[in-house]
Amino acid sequence: MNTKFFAGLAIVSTAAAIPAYADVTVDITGATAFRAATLLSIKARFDASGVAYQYSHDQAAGAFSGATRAIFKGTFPGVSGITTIRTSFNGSVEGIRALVDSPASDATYYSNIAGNFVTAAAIGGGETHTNTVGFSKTTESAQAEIAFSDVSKSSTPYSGFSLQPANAACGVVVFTMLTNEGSTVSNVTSQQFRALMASGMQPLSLFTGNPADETFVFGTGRNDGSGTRTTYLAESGYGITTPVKQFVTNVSTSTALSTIQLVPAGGVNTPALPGQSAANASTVWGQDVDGNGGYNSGSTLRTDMGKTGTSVTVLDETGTDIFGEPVRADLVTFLSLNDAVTARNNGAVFCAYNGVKLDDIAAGGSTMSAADKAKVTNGLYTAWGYQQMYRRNDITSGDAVTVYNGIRNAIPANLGAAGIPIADMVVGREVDGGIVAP
Amino acid sequence: MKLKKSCFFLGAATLSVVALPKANAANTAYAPGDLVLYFQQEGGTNTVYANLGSAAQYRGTASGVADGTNALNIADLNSTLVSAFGAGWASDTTIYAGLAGVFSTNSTLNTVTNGDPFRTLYVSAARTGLGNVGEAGSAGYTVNTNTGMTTGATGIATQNNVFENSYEGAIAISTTDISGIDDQNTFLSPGVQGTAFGIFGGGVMQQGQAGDLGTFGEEDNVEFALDLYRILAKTGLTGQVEGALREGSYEGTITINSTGGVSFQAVPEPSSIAFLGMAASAVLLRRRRSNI
Repeated sequence: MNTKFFAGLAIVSTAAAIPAYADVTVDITGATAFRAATLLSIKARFDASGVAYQYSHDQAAGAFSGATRAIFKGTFPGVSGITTIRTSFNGSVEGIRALVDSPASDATYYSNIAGNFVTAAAIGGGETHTNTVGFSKTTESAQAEIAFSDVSKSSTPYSGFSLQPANAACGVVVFTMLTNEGSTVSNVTSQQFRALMASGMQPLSLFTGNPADETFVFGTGRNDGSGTRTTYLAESGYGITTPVKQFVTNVSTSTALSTIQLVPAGGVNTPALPGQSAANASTVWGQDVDGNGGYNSGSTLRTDMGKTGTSVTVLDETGTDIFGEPVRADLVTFLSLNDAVTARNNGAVFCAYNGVKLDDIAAGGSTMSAADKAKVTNGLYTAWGYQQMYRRNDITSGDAVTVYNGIRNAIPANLGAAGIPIADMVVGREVDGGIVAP
Repeated sequence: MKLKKSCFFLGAATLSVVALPKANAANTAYAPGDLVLYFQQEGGTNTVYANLGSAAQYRGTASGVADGTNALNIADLNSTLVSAFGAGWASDTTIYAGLAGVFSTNSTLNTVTNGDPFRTLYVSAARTGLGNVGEAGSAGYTVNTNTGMTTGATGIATQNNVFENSYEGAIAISTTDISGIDDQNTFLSPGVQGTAFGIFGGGVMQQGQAGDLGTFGEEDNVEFALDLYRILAKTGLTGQVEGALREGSYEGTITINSTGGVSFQAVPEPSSIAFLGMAASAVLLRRRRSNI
């Protein structure tokens, strides 16, 4: 049931009796890169009202900034009446799709898009959360008003749709090349990465310059619903829509890779092999072909990057063992700094990109040092993109715009390790993967 | 209300002549800074250039405000579009239309021409619905960097230089092996525009519709409706018409109707809006009375 519709009816039916203030609900979806910054910004705006409010989320107490689903209810500065803000983050491309697709014309809209938001039943006074009596996971379908994306809509199949505003960039997301635990790859150039994406595997010597390195490096990464993937294919110059060849892990222990496979079309062989998932298929651009799939989950990818690859069975798309015996396998991928730090803490290794490395955060910590940040802001390090904060095209004024502006303006102060405020950037770029210059 | 034929635009008579390929000498019917209306067919072999005259004249005396001058029937492109794309061009969803103009790509000189500094970009954005005359029907553009302005200017100049150097006349059908249009306006995948002129992600063109878009102001049976934006690379120069740096200002809308007629409708002055409102009321009243 679309409660916004019924809420609208209720407002209409009582408009004559009540002088005032229509309550407003604003739903937010899209990429997770700025999830913490968004939730912290929402909370900061409610804090600024000076009026008690309630919020509820799907994380442990005090860990609301990591929530996928959250709901806030109270007084939002600049908005009369009660404002309810709900989040349900579902990824960059799906977030954009959630804004441009029409529930009225697409019967599968709600089943395609994870735009399910917790209901007000989750609200229990003050902070409630997963482990709190009173927290409810009851959800309902609704079309979001706002979506975050790691990439511009022009880098998605929804390029032809209009969204607001003209300049939706609200921050800079930094990425890094990453290799798995135990790998000797220390630098990845755009050329090497393109070669890796084109064939799925390349000799280790291509990356080390040592002819004695006769084992192979395997390319891995996300499926085409991912903003991270769109960013690395744009940034490296490979091409957003050009099919790739990527491997994903089928079998592993908590510390070591056991079997990897070139992703088959559809993500799954018949019969299915252990660890395969249909969700790994790439379907956004209509290119569900062998190799073009990838991890549907960034957290699974970053977990696997923390594992060693000293003895790995490598399967082709049909499930045939390519080498006939387990071999050493180095993995290379490209992750957002947040995900890369998590992977690094599990053993993965930061690589330089085109010879430039974020040295300090590669060694430890969770935020970039001033020296690392200067490499990005001045243009020496180019593995970054704008985080876009879009509104639906029909939302050009009113309370939803006030909420949008309030959150967007609060993001720079709540970015933490997620990114860099645009105001700090000396250089810029016009499109994803475009020229970086003042 | 300012509403008149294209007295200061290139005349329709001129535009009805399709240019011929030539070997040398610049096209005398084109000058840098002119606004070019262009068409391409995705997967096709023909493109079309049509010169709409100096881009600055569409801006008016100020940027993005109610001072533009309407011009109806600037050009009749029907025969050209039929020759290039066939008799069904108006309902062909593989045909795209766009606008682009720039005077110079020079990034160092502080020269102002017709109120525009060098690298001032004029580009289109597709209206998502016809909406109201005088209101932008698209989100517009922001260019993030100074380098981006140079890249964009170079892209537009590269496209239009082909028109200047390879043809003679105000309209040209240019095959894709010669044209700069398909090179500068690429596609990511079928039906999805890529980056135009090196900087405009998602492109600047509008895709043709199976049916027409409806009526927009003075124009019926509109097939394409392109919002025109002016983007400044520099501000504060003597003699320039000011505006926000690197942010597109909406200057009006170019429409192409089902018979190939090209018109420009500017942001109307307040008095014009009032007049249009009264005129609309009169029409409605007349229709209502006729139904009685």
